[in-house]
Amino acid sequence: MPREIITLQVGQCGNQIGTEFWKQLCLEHGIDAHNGVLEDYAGESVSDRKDVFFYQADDEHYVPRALLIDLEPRVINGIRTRYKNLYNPENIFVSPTGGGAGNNWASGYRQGQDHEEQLLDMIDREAEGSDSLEGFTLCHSIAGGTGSGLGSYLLEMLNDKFPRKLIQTYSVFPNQQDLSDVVVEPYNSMLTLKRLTVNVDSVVVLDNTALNRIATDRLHLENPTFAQVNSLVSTVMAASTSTLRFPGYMNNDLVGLIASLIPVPRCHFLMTGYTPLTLYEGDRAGESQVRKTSVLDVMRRLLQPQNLMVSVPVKKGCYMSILNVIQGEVDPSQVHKSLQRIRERKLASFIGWGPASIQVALARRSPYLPQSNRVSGLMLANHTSIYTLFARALNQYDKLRKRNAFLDNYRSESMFENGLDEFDSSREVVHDLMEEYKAAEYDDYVSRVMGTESPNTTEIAR
Amino acid sequence: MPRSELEDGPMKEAFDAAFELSSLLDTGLDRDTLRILMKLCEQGVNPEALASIVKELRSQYQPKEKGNSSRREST
Amino acid sequence: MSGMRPGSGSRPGSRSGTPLRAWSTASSSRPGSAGSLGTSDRGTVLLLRELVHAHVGKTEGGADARQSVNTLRYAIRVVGSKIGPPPSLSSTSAVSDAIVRRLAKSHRHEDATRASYLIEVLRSNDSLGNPQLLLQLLDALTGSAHDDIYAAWPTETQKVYENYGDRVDSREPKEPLLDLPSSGIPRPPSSKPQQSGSDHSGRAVPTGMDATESPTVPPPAPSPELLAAVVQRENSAVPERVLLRQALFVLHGIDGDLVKSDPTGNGHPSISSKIGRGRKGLLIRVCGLGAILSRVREFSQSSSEQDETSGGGKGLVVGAFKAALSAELDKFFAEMAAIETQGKNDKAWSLRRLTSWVEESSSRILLMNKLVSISMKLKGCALTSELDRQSRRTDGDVGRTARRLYRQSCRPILRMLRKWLAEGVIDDEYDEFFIFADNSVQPVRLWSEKYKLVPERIPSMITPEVASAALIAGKAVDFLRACCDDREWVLQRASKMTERDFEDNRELSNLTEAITAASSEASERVKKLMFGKFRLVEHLESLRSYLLLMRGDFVQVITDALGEDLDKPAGMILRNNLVRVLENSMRISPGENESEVDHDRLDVRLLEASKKDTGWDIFRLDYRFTEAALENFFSDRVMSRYMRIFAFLWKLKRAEHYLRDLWEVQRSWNASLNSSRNQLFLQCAFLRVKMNHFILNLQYFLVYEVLDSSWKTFMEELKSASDLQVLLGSHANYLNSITTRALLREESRDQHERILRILDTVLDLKELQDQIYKPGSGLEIGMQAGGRVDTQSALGKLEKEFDSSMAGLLESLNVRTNDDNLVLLALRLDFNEHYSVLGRERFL
Repeated sequence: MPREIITLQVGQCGNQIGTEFWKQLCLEHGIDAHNGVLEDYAGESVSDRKDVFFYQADDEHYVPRALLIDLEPRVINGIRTRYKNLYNPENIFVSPTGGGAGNNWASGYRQGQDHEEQLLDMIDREAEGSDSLEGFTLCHSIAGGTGSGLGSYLLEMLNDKFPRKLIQTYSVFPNQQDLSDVVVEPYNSMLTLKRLTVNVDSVVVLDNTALNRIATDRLHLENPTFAQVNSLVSTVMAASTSTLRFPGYMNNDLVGLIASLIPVPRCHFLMTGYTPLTLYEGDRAGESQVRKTSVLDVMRRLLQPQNLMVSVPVKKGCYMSILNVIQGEVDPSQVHKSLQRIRERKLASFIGWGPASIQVALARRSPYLPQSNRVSGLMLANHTSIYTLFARALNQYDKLRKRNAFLDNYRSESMFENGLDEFDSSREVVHDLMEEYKAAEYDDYVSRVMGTESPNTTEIAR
Repeated sequence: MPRSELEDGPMKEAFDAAFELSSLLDTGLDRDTLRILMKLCEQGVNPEALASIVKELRSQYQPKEKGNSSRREST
Repeated sequence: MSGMRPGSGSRPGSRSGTPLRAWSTASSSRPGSAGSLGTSDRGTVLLLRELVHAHVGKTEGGADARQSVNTLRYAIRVVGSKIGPPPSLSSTSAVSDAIVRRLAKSHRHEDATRASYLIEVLRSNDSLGNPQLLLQLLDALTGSAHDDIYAAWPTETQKVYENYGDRVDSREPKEPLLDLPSSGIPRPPSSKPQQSGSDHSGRAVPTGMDATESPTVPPPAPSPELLAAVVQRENSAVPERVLLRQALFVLHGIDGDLVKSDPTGNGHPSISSKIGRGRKGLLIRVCGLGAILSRVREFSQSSSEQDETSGGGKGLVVGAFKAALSAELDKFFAEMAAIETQGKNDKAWSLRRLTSWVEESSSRILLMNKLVSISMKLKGCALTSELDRQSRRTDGDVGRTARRLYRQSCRPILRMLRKWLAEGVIDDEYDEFFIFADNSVQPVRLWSEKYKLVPERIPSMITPEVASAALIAGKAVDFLRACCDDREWVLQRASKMTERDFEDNRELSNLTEAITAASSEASERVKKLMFGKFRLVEHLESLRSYLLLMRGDFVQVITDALGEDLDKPAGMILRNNLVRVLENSMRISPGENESEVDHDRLDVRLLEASKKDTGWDIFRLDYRFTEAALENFFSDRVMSRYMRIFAFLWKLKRAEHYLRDLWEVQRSWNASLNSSRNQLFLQCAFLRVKMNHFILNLQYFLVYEVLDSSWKTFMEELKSASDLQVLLGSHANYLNSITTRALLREESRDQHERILRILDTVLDLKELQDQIYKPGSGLEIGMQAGGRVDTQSALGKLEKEFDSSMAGLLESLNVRTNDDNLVLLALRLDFNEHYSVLGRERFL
C-alpha cells in the first residue's frame, strides 16, 4: 500500500520546476520521460517504490500523479510537446481564457474560484486513484499571479477538502537582489505567505537569490537559464523524496520526514542545501564542482551557507532540526564519526529549549543514474534565521503599502471589493510567524510561549 | 709427538671435530688422551679394547682426584 | 665407575647382547694370546704407555711404578687379545646412526644434528685412515665421563630380566683387575643400552632369527669353548635334547614332566631338580615367557562379541586386534618351529639357542602382553589411540610389531569412517566410533542435534580439528540426503569414494587429507543448495525486512492498517482479522519486486495475553519455513531470537505510530490560530518533540549502528563461510551482535528498562492528548475549566517523568564510556546537549 503523493504544479514557475522534477524521477526509476514506458534496462532487482509518484495505466505505462495547472498556455504547451505521452491529458488544466493572472495574486485566486469545480474534479479523481493518499505537493512561485494566487486558492481548498492529508509546497521566493519587473511582488508574496503559514504543513523554501548565486558561483554559469536553475530545484526535490521512493527502515513517508523536522507546527519553513552540485542538462550529468566527497565532507559542506538554496544568515540563529539525506556508498560508521566531529567543532548551533540533532538518513541511490560522486547529500533544515526572509518580505510590503501603491488591480477583484483587510490579516500572520522564529532562538522559548497563552480557545473559521 | 702435526691442516680439523664429538658424547676424554687414542685407532687397535682400557685406567687412577670423587659421591 | 671384568663373557646370555661376539670368532684363533704383540705393534705399545702415563701422571703424588707397569701390561694384553683388523660388519654409518639416534632419543636434538655433522667431518677427513674405529671408540665411551653409567639402562629391560628371576647383577662385582680371565672384553652395559634388542643399528647386535636383517652377522653363538665349560660344570643328568623339547612344550603352553610353567597356579614354574642350576635359570625364563604367551594366545582366541557391559574387550576394534595378534603369534610359533628344526641338526647348543632367541623375542611378547592388558580395558577408537601411543614408545622390531597390531586394529574404525564420510551413516554396533548418532532426532533438527563428537574417542590418527571436519563431512552428507532431497548426488559420490578405499590406506597421514577433502566436498554441495535451491540469502533478507522491520514502508502499512485493532485489549483480538488485514496489506503493499513465496511465509502469531495487554503487546510477525534444510538453519531457538528483537523494534514502531498520530492532531491545530497559543496544546507539542527526538534517534542508532552494520559483517562472513556450521555460527554472531548492541542483553537490562519506561510515556501522552482533543469530533474536551487543570498537571507530571527517565538513561549510557556503542547512542540522544544542560541546571 503506497502512501501516494499528488503533485500540483501551478503557474509558469511551478510547471517548469515540476517538469524538471518528473524528468529526474523518470531518470531515477528507469522510465522513459517521453512516454512513461519502463526502459529495457530497468530490471526487477531494484526495490523502488514508483507507485508513490506514478501510477500504471492500463497499458502499464507509468503516469505521474501530477496536475499541471496554469492560467496561460505557453509553458504547458511546451511541456505537452516535449513529453507528449507522459502526463495524463486529463490532468492538465489551462484556463480557457488563457489570459494568465497578470501578476495579480487576487486575479489568480479569483480564477481558482471560477474554476473550482473543474479543479476539484481533477484533484478528486486523482485522489481516488490512490490507495492510501498521503498528501499533496504543490510547486509554485510566491511572487507572481498564478502560482501565488491560484496556488493560495488551491492550498485553502486542499486544506478544506482533505483536512487529514498532508500538504507540502516547494515555494520559490523572489530574487531580492535584482529589481523585479513585477512591482507588486511584495503584495503577492505577503498574501501567499499567509496561506503557506496557515494551510500548509511544510514549506520547502527555495530562494531565487540563492539559486542564481549557486548557478553563477558554484556552477560557473554566467547567465543561468530558467531551465538550469530549475534543474537545481528538481535535484533537491528528487533527493528529498528519495527515502520515499527507495524505502528503508525509516523516513518512508512524508509525515515521518516532516514530523521530525517540525517541532512546533507553525515553524514549518524548511531550507535546503545540496552538495556536490551537479547540473543536469538534458540527460547528461554536468560536471561536478566538488571532487572529494566523504561523508564528513558532505555533512560539513551542507552546513555552509554557499550550498544553501536560501539566502539567510545561518551563522546567526540556530537549528531546530536537521535531516541529512546521504546517498551513495556510505559506511554507517562514517556517519557516526562525522556527527562526533561536527559536535566537537560546533559546526552547527542548535536550539537550547529542546533536544535537536542532525538526523542522517542513508538513502539508496537509483542504479540507473550515472553518478560522478561517491557520496552526495541533501540537507533539510529548520533554522530560525529563515525569519529574515519574512522580515524582508514584510519590509518591502510595508514600503509599498505605506504608499498604497498599485492596489487598484487588487481592489477590482472580489476579495478586496470591501476593503484590504486580507492584506492586514496576512501581514499579521507573517509578522507573528517571524516573531515565533525569532523567539525560538532563545532558550526560554518554551516558557515564553507558554506565558502568552491566548484566553480565547475557540477555533476561528477560515 | 710434535704438536704441530696435529695443530695444522686436516689433522687439526679432524682432531677438533673428534674432540667436539667426544665432548658431546660425554666421553670424559681430555685432549691429550683423545690424541693418543686417535693415534691408536689409526694403528688399527680394536676400539672396544681401547675403551675398556680407558675405563680401567680411570677406575685405577681417577678416584684419587678430588673433583671426580665428589661427583661420585653424589651419584 | 664399575669394576671392570673383562672376562665376564663367561656368561654371554646374561648380557643379552654379547657385545663382542663379533670378534669372538676372530679372536678365537689366538686364544689367550696376552702380551704377544709383534714388532709391528711397537708403536702401539708406545702409545699405550703414553696413555697409561697420561693417567698415572694425573694422580696426586704419583702412583707407584709397579702399578703403572701392571696397568700397562694389562693394557697390552687386552689389546693383544683382540688385535687384528676389526671385522667390517659395522659400517661407519651404523655407528654414527647409533650415536645420533641416542642423542636424539635423550632429546638433545641440536646435539644430534651437530654430532652428525662432526661425524661427517671425521669421515671425510683424509688424514684419518680409520675414522670408523675412532667413532666406535667414542661410541663405546659415551657417557662414561659420569659415574652413573647404568642410568641409560632402560628400566623396562631390567624388568624383563627381573621377570625371569635369573638376572645377573648388572653391576658386576669388583674383582681385582689382573686376575680376570682374558677370554673376552665385554663392555659395560652403559655403553650399549640398546642391547635389549631394540637397537638395529646393525652393529654387534645379536639378532637371533632376525639375522637376515644384518646378513654379515654370523649366527649368534657363544664360543664353543665357553659352552663346553658350562656343560662340563653342570654335569647334566638330563639330556639337552629333552630339555629343549620341554622348553618348546612350555612355550606352546604345554607342561612337560620336568618343566611345568605354573603347576600351583601362583605364577611360579616348577623345574625338576634333576636339572642343573645353569639350565634351570634358562628354563625359568622360558617358562615365564610361555605363561605370557598362553595368556596372549588365549585372549586372541576369545570371542570379541560377548556382550559384556564392561566396555573393554569387545567390539570390532578389539576383534581386529585379536586377529592381528593371532597373526603375530603364528609368526612367532613359525619362528620357533624353525629353531626346533635347527635344534635337531645341532644338538650341542639347542637350548642355549632357544634361550637366546627367547631373549630376543621377550620384548615382543611382553609388548603383546601389555597390549592385551590394555585392550581388556579399552575399546573402539580409544583402544586404537592407546595402541598407537604404545607403538610410538617402542622402535625396532618391537615397534614394528606394535605398529602392525595398531594398524590392523584401526581397520574397523577406518571402515566406519569411510561409510560415514561417503554415506553419512554411522554403523557402530559397539559404540566404538568417535561420532555419536542419536537416531531419534527429527530431520528438522538434524544438523544441530543428531550427531555429536565424543572427544575422548577421537582416535590419535587424527587431530581434534580433523575430527570436527569429519563430523561436518558426514553430517553434511546425511543432511543432503535427509533434508535436501539430494540422494542422487550422495549416491554418486559414495560410489566414487568406495573406489578410493580408505581401509587399505596404509599411510594414516593421508587420512587427514581424505577427511578434509570429503568435508569440503560435501560442504560445498550443502552451500550450493542452501544458497541456490533454498535461497538462504533471500530468506535472510526477508527476515531482516519483516521480522527486523527493515522494510519500513511495509511496517508502516501494517501499523496503519492494524493500528485500530491493536489498540484494543488483547482479549478482544482475533487472529483471523489480523491475518486478513495483513494479507490485504501484503497484496497491495510493495510486493512489486518480491516473490510471492515470501508473502506466504509471513504469518501472524499472537502471544498469550495477560490482563493489561493490548493487541500491540501480543502481536508478533512470524516467518515460516517448511523445508527441512531451512528449518535446520532457522531452528526454533534461532527464530525465538528474531522474535526477541522483533518485540523490541515493534515497541518502538508502536511508539512511532502514536507519535505520528499525536503530530497529525497537532498539525491540525496550526490552522486554528488561537489554539496554537493554547497552553495545553503547546505542552503536548513540546513533549511530543522530545519523545519524537528520542524515538527517532534511537531508531537511527538501531538501524545504522546495529542492524545495518551487523548485517554488513554477516554478509561478509557468509561469502567466505566454508561450511554450514560456519554459516550457522555467522548467523548466531549476527543475532548476537544485534542483541548486544540493541541493549537487549542481561547486562544492559538497566538501559533497556529505562528505554521501555520512556516508551510508556509516549502511550501516556497519547492518552492525555486524546482527552484534550479527539480528532474528528471537533470538540476540545478537557478545555473546560475543571478538567483542564487536571490535564495540565498530568502533562507536567508526564514531562517530569520523561525528563527523569531520559536523564537516567543518558547517565547510564555515559557511565560506560568505554563502550563505543553506548557513547554513540548517547551522542545521538543528546546531540545538542539539551539534557546535559538541563541536568546541570537542576544540579545547581
